Amino acid sequence: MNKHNDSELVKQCLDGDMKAFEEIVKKYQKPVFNTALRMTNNRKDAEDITQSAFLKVYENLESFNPDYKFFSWLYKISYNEILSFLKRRRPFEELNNNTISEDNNPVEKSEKNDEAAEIKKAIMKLKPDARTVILLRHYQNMSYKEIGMILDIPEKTVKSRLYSSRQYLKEILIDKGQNI
Amino acid sequence: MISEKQMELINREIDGVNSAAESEELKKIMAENPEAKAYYDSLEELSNKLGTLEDVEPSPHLTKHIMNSIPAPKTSRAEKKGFFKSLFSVPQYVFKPQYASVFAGGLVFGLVLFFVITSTINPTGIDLGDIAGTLISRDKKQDFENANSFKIHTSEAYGRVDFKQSKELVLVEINLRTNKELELLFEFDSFDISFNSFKQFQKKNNGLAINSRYVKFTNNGDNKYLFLFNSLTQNEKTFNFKMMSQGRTVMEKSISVKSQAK
Repeated sequence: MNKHNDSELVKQCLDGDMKAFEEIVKKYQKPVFNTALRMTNNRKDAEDITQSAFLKVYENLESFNPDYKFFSWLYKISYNEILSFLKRRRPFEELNNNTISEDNNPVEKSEKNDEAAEIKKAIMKLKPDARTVILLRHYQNMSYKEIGMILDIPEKTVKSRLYSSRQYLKEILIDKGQNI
Repeated sequence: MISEKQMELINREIDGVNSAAESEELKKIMAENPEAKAYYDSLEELSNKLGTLEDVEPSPHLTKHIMNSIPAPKTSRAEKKGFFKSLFSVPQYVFKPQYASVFAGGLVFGLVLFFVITSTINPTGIDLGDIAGTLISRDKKQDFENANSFKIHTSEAYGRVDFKQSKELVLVEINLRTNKELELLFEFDSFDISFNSFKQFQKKNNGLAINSRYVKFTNNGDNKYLFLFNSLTQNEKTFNFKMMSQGRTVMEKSISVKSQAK
């Protein structure tokens, strides 16, 4: 993610340029949406969370410190929105039909879907804290430091949470018959 | 047996953050410790499986929804500076009689036109002016057509829900009698509908809760409610109605409202 570019876009937003904010939305809505989707397992909820996250970002743009990565700051806000949402509903929900599969090959689709569905179910079995570190590390490719900044926890805690979450995830998948 | 330090080295290797020296050290450990090697292999397999999950595309309308929810552009910093500067500048006014008479004439004409127009409007339909908090101005009438309705008849509740629609709005009128406190929920698609305003006729606590996808309230006894929703699209609108008693659904109904042509 181009830090220089994001800072420029933020500056333009603060100068009243809504097109600049729209560019930010188009650039980051997909990763924010996917993180929310993997945390909630519900497409509609993920879109609602994405919408309120970007609204919060817009409202707090003046507080963004350009010394830090915009993406990490955006993620921090998104994560707080996800947490607020999860607190308002039951923490653990079974996989439901709102999960979308994008594959079009019917043969591969069936095998891939089974494995993908098992992985998604396993991820959903993790507690939100554990789920978050897995998603931020494995899907958003964030460093321990960035994850710590987003979750407001020390790097050491990020590592121990990540390592134990992996272990637990492994156990869930082995239990489901996955070859690990 | 895998030590804590070895576990850390293995996890860091999976995350690609080991130095060259640390990676070498790990290779030696795994050559001598089959348990450590097995642990590394299983973590690598896990990481590969997690990598098979593909990103999902959000709805193509999401950007539009997000931008629509953003309030009016902030006053730019340049404009803010200009505003403060203007507070300290001294305005100069020069009276010119010919402009005064033009202004007065225009004002009179405008007032006459306003009264002529408002007195000739023959409003039909429902007066929304007394719905608290409505975003529709009091003098703007809406021609509502009956769209759908259903009756409520359970052991706990009796009543009727009527849906009316105009070109821009959907009005839901609920006449209800319950013999205990029940929770009522209207769910809808935020792409097609957004909440506008609400009125209840008997002043009682109603636990009203609203978000982009539902309105929820409680009823105990007799009451009448009006809910106003904005029609955002020309699509058929679907409301999912639920009535619950202590978390148990006692009635559920899906209602469609076809759009009135704009």
